[in-house]
Amino acid sequence: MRRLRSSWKWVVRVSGALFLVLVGLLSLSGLERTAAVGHPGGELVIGVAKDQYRLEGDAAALGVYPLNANITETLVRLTPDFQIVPWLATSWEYVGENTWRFTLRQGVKFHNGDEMDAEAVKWSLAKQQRFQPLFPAGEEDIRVVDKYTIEITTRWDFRRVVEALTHPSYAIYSPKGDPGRNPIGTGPYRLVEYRQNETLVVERFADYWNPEAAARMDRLVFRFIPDGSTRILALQAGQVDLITPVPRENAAALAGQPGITVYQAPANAYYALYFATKDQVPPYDTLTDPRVRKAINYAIDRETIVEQIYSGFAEVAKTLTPPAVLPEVDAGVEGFAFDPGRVAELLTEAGYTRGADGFWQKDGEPLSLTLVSGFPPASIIKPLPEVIQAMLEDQGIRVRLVEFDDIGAYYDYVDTGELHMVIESGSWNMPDPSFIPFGLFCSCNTEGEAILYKRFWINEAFEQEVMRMVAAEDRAEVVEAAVRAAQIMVDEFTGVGPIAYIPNLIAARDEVQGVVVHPAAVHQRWTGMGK
Amino acid sequence: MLSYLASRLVQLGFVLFAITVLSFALLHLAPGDPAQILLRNQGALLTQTSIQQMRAELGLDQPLPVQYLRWLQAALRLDFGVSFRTGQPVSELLLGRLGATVELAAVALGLALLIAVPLGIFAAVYQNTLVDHLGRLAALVGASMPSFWLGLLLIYLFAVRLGWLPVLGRGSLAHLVLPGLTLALSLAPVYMRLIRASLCDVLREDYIQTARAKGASERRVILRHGLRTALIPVVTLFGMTLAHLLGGTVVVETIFAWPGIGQLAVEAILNRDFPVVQAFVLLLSLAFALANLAVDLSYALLDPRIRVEG
Repeated sequence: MRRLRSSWKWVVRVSGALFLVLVGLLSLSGLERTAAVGHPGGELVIGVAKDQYRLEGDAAALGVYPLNANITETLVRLTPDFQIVPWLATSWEYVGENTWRFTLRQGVKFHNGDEMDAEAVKWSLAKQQRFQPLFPAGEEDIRVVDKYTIEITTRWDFRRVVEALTHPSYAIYSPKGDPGRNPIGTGPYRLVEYRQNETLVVERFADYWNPEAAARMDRLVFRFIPDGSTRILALQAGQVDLITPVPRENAAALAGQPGITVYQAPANAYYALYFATKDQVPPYDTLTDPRVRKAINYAIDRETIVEQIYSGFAEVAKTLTPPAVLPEVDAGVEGFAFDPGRVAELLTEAGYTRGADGFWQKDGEPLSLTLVSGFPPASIIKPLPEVIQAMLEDQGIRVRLVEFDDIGAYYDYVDTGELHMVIESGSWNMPDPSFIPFGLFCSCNTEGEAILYKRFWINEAFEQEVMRMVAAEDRAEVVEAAVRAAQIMVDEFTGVGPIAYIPNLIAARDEVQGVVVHPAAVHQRWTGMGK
Repeated sequence: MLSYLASRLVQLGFVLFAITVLSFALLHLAPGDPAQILLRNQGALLTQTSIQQMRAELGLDQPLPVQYLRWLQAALRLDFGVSFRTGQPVSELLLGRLGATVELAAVALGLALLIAVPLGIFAAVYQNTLVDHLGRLAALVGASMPSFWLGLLLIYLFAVRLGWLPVLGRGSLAHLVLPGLTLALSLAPVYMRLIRASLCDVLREDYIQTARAKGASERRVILRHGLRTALIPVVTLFGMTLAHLLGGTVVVETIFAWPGIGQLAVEAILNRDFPVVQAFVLLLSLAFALANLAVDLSYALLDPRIRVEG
């Protein structure tokens, strides 16, 4: 036994030696580096979701989209109250014949010291027009008039150009840089270092043109933390000062923690059901009957969803346009309140009877619907689809849930048409009220080409209103068309089932001051924040 | 020995070729069109023209055999193309992540063995005593705890409550401890049980009795005569674990924001980023094949009765 004990000690000694060797080898191999985390003099560490930057080609945008590190700026800016204000352009006017003239701000410096001029603006806008235009104009339609003036002409009477130019993809770069690997912008922060999937570091730009919107912190360190729980733990441990996005279901618990504040912007996004009504074949054509679509809407208890799933960090939705984007739309739509009586009434009218098992049926066939979720991925949107399924089953409507975590497989499934409805989210990054109705529910793109896979098309009347929104010069007419389109979409045709408006959340440690959350994360400004 | 090695390497070539054909075919048969996913992720509206343009840009408009031969031709020159999603060269993407993965794999395996070898030997030597039972219980707990849960618990304890270690990221040795330990604690139970079982068998062998009869010390009997033979199945498992860890550990990488190869692979698969997936599969196959070869060769060193023949 004594000898056995001595052999055990020997094992421990050898293990200890091995551990030290391992540690030594790792230190020698240059893995020891100084930690990026720390707060020496004016540094704000921001925990963000996964790295989604593209580095090559016309789509390249580092520090601009989808995470905006304030390296670049646009000609016009979208403020947190969804207003358009002059920014790198001081003024603009519509000069007729589908043409806008923009006067550029003078004396704006790029991070390399060069002055921003019309050539740089044309270069930057043309890049986006080649890649993914948000208005119908080619490179040749953007003209330099003089050093501080450019003109943009659209191919047809598309009037939402100024709204589109607020989008960060229309950021202005110096042509001497590379938007992917070395973006040179005019913003309050300039790029210092980027380590893919690890960190993006920016530093205060001393020659920034606008003293009123200049950066308070010397450095911002963005750390990519894909897992929501880890993001929260990093904030609690003080290894980051601020996190965004905040996992919505943890927001209430986090807000209750000492030393941490959860900030909420007015909502710019939504969750909604889209009903498949076009080109559907049996048994997937059940929702071609508007009474069934309306019954589904009356069967959903949105108040409970907002309170129970999102702990109040969401609002009951009547449309796909949250009030922050355009208040008239939500106010102008009646929407659907939870009303089991109306569900029964509508389904009876549509020829259904309630069976002994409590479920609705017609001609011996149960009323059974397929709900598909996959955008955002099912693991993110959970448990909303399950709750909606339970609410509909409570009202005697059977629901089969098909969930995807893989967007490719989701789209392929939706294209098969073997579904009655999907649940999706959408967000507004532009103040153009036609953006989502046009992109998701109309039949053609800005070039007039037919859009594929339009199962959720509304109707002609709706499409006419959307086209009026796109082409109207007068703001009042735009608003009127937007309200009318929403009334058709929700109250009359009922092609969708709006569920909840979703706000953008930021959680920060109490040392961080001046947190203003922009409703649209891609427009977030970090300049006013400090410690 | 050399002729054995040469024939194994030739076999390896054929295996890798077959794997590239198979993975290429499977990728293209799976649902999800990369062109459509790219366009939709960019928020673009899908039209016949935009899909066709994107397919042409990605080279997906060519017949499958042509696409494969083009890929193979470039791959033989170690050019694995560019990522559909980010536009970066695939080799740059993979190599950029490989360092972090190797680092984590080495620490995890090292820690796992540090935990498992002594405990395994201890459990075998003190078979069916309280120590052995406790070891079995610990192994069961370790093996059944999901790593995402364990990882978050470790972060909560060591980073949030005690503040000893960083929550996440890569940089210093301290950053390696929690992800390394999370992985090690899920690997160690398997090794521990394997070492125990294997050593128990070996200790019953006649030659062990002979060694004891010759008057060899108990330490020498266990460590030199016993453990050496008992390690053969452990080495086999080690090879497989190493290759497996080099393929990345998605859950642990995600929790600790560790910029390893696993996350890259999962994102590439979800986005149907064919060039990245194809190169990743090739890399992983190579890792498995080489680990297997190394394991086979090491048998001869551990047990002189085993001879490799060409």
